[in-house]
Amino acid sequence: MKTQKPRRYGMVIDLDRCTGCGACMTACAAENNVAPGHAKATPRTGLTPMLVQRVSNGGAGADRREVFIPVTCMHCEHETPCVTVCPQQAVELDKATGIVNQMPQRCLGCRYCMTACAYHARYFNWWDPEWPVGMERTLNPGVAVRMRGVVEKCNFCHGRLHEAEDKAAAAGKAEIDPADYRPACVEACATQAIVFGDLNDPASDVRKASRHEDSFRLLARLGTEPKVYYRSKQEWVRGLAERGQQEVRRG
Amino acid sequence: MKPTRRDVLALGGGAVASVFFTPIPWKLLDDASIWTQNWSWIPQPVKGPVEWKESACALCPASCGLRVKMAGGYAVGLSGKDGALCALGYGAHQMNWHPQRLTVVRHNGQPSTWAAAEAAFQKACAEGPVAIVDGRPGRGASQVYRQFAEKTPGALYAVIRTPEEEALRPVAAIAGVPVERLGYDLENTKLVLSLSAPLLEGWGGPQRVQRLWPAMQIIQAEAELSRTGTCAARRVQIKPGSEAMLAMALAHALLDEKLATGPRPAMSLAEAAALAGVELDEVKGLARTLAAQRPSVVISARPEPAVAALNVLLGAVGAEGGIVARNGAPAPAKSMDELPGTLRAALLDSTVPWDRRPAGAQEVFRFAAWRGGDEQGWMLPAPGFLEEATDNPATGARAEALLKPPAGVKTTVAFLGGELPAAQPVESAIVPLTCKLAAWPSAAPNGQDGRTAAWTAAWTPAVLAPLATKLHQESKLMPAGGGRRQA
Repeated sequence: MKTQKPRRYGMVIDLDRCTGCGACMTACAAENNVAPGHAKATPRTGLTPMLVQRVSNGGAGADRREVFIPVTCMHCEHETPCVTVCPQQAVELDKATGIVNQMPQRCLGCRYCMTACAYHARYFNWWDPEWPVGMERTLNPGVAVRMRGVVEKCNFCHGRLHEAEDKAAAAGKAEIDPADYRPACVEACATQAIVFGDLNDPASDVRKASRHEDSFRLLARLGTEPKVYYRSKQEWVRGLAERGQQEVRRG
Repeated sequence: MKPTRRDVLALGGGAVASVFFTPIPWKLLDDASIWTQNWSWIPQPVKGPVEWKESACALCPASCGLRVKMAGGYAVGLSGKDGALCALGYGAHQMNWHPQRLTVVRHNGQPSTWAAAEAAFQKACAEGPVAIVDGRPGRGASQVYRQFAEKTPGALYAVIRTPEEEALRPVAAIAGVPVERLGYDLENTKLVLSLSAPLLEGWGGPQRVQRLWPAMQIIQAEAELSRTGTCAARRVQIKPGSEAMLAMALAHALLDEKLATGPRPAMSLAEAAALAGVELDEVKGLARTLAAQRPSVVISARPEPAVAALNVLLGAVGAEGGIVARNGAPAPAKSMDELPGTLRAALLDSTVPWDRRPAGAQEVFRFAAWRGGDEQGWMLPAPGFLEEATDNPATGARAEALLKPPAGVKTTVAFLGGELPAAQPVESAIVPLTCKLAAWPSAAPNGQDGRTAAWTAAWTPAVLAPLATKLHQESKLMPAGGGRRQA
């Protein structure tokens, strides 16, 4: 049986195209059966595998500039911090796809990985998932419901990858059709600000975009080789990449 | 050898110590964590074969094409058919189970019955006059409303105009055509000068401008930084409420630079530019850009006669990529705001936003799928998302209902005793439109009229945000006021 070549799924987000509409966040929540936010949830204690941050240059009036930065798991490739620290082996870097997977069944909820993650892209599930009566009928059957007490993160809509692989297998193909696998946020982006694909594929749009002179990665100096890239022609936006969250908040 | 007490203790101690070198504790820990994560009260997705069906979104007049993921007879996922959906659209299938779902007739906030509502409406019709207000004209249901108004003595049919239609009213007045026939040909526009219009925030249908941008260049002139201003190729800072002044200044600059011919505004260039808070050089530069980047069009958030006149000077009215007229538009109808103030009752279709009701109507019969608004008068439960046929007024296409509505729900058409007519394709095409500016219109004081602001905000509260979009609201992406953008 033929096996697929190793892939390195990654993403390039063009910040100059992001309008901050939030469709990626809603699509992500609906696709991954994220329950409505608990009344006591805060931006850190709620679940937002995809979170669009609004950041300004600190100016006022005509000098003020803003940018929307969708932040998700960066799927770090080199000494992935969350993988390294997990005592339960509940996080793994899949060598076949490059996706950093979280296995909630193994997770003990110790939250070491959250501490290790430089991007605040991991969330602890503090509450049992609850939907209004009847709304559980709208849950996506391709994704298990997240339970309380585990850490959550983006997995590039792994359920969709499985569906694409099943489809390819049913057709007797070793390789999936790239068009069959697009995470929900990519599909939801009306301005096509998010490009997704195999970074190993020289012909892929994502590879070309990731090598564009405008592309950059957040906190690249840490050397974790994130596979989520950003693009912007604006100098001040690119300058945000190496600043810590506190510095960005202070503007 | 007879084991001693010391041997037993050593064996026990050794066993306890060595168990930590086996997988047993880790396996127990693993199993315990799995067990504690799969309680019976954790909801499970619906079981059943998954299939995809096509439909149309009814949340706003854009009528986006939908691909609906169905399992076990329920909608379990949505995606756009010809492009992406809006943030609200992706969670719309959850809305039918919202705790605020209306399934019982309510009268002044108290539970009532359909029989009581029907009796009250018949009494109101007998006493007259009543108005049927349609939030989305051009549908099959709209025909039923019109027919009811024609055959009922004293009954009136009225529509709600979108902010985009409202903004085109001054153009319609200059061109002498019904506003229903006018529209922006943005698909062929190269440059848009937006005067505080929320182009990338839902204007003209949530995703239309987003699909066209950034190929279609946007220059945003506004007083307060908006999301559109953030994304625009260029942003011009103006004083609050000075959109008409900027339009007049631009008209002067176009005429001074001989980039257009026509009458001049009474206010001078320097005065208008000063009132708008824009430097003269910047005004002239803007005018040159507008002329050089044709087809270009100027869009304002509010109905501004000065902006309409500027568009005529610019040659944008009746030109490709500007403001065009089309046939196949819904028949002209009275706007709800033009209804007399002495109505006995008003029947509001479920497409009418909650914050809109005819002023002066003694009794209101409001169809809605969700509770909200002031709940004064009658609240009549209507089918929710994908629970009734959805007509696209622009094409005449109809998407049939995919979901079964809950008991106790009725359509407005059924309430009026009518039947939905068969869908009829609409032959829509752009027709020639000639428009000449005889005199510069008198500039109305550019204050906050409130209507456009209410309209701009209408679609979000009107359809009751689904719980999934709570994330979106909490993300602080939306401006203060629950996503209500102030025009």
